[in-house]
Amino acid sequence: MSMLKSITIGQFVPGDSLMHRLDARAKFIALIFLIIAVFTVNTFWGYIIIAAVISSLLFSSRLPLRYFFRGLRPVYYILTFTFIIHLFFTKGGSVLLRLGSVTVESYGVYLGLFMITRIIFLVVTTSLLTLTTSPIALTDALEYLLKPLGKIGIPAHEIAMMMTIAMRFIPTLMEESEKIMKAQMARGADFESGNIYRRAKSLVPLLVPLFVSSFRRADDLAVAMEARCYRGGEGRTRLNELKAVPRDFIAIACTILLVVLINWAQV
Amino acid sequence: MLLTMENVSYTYMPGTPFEVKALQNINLTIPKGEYLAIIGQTGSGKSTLVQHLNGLLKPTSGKILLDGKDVKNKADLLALRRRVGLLFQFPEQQLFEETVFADVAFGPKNMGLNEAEIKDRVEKALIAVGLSLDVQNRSPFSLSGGQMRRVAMAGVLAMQPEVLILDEPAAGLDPRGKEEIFDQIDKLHQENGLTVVLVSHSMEDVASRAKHLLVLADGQIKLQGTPAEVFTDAAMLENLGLALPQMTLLMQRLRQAGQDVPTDIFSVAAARDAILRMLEVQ
Repeated sequence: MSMLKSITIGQFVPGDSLMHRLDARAKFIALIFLIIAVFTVNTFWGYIIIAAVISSLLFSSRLPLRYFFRGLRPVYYILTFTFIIHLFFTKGGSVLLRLGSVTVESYGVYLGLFMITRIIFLVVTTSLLTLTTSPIALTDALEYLLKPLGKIGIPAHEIAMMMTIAMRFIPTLMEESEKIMKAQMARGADFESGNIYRRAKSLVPLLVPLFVSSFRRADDLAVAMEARCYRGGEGRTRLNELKAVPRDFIAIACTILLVVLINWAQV
Repeated sequence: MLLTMENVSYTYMPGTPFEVKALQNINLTIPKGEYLAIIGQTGSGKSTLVQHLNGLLKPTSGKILLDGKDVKNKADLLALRRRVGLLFQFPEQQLFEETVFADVAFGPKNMGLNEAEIKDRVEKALIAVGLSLDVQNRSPFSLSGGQMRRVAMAGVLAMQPEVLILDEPAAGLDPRGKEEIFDQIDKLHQENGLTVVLVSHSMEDVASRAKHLLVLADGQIKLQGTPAEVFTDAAMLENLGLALPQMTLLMQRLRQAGQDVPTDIFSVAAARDAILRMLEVQ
């Protein structure tokens, strides 16, 4: 069951911190600028500044830090892989280690560490957004931000609605797959041992019932939505209007400032 | 003692804001030949409790004993799952094979039995749940809801467990389908000597059938005993949001009105007899 639990990474945790109260749109835009900052930084002091900013943001969310580190679990392999690749294939600087024709050079270590720090920053800041923003606020924000793209034919409302529905059903589907898994385990099914081929085959008793019920559920939902006159985004009003207050603009301005500062200092 | 739970507690998602103490200090013994009904409202911990009985959940603290032996390693666990069959709520949702035969054979196949033995068990199981053998080669998805539920039940019976646990086996069935499923379970208990554990939120459905009742609320055992014993504490049951069977209530009211009737009556048929007797005496 541990496999199912790890999917809940980044799940919204209700709270009342500054991070929770910021407008979802502001958080979205600020996140984009933060990511730009993370990707343009390339000096040691730049990294220190970003690390300081990100860790103060994490603390201001008043969530236990382990929630953020739990989010890193699925990228352990990517981190290790990235580091190893840089270690052996990025050349430059002094030679630190020589094994026959293979060398580890100082620039490789340096760049490897920078790269994995970058990925960690990326994952942690993204978790910060999803941990402090309810899925509904998140999709509302997305809809708002995508709206200008409606002019070139991108259906912002429909995309947001699809995301809302998908997110709404993640826990339901997880619960259901856990239930079906248990039902099949009670009949002696084994999901945990054997080689890849056997394991893939052992998923059939889980996937078939899951598909059957998902289709039925999708159908029920479509009927229920139509019965309540759902007809897409046009002219639709909303229960919770998003309202930006000064602190939201300040948050965005701060992240822009960070990007400018980082890039200016590196010139 | 076939199955024993010793001080079993279980907590969902410990150490998170979503932490729920689903079971607290449960002590329970299930002897061979028992017919136990576990009753409680939604969220009382019934389903969590029965999942411990066949090792799908491991207690956060406490022990599960099978024949007095602690279930510890994987071999014990497999033995437990083999001897204790668990049928989940809405079990028709677990069907997946192309034919009814293949679906019912899933359990026996996992047990590593040979072809002939599997065929024999599948047929016996289908007959035991009251299906004709003609359905064997049909797709389970072409059957009616009630039939699908029977196929799922056959899927568990084909493993020939000693204990059969059923989680709300009659949920979503019409009164007739309900009656039929319960009669089938009674028959399995009486004729095949199966030990039965029934999970339900309705006293009405199980009071006349089970030998013992166990009332669960907030993950704790509140009342335990024969139906007659449990029903004497009507106020407590009401507090827990559980209603007495209507016939039991009727008998208690008659008694309060000064009539000499027994109060351990749980079904309409028994109530009819008791009232007739009462009238005869008068």
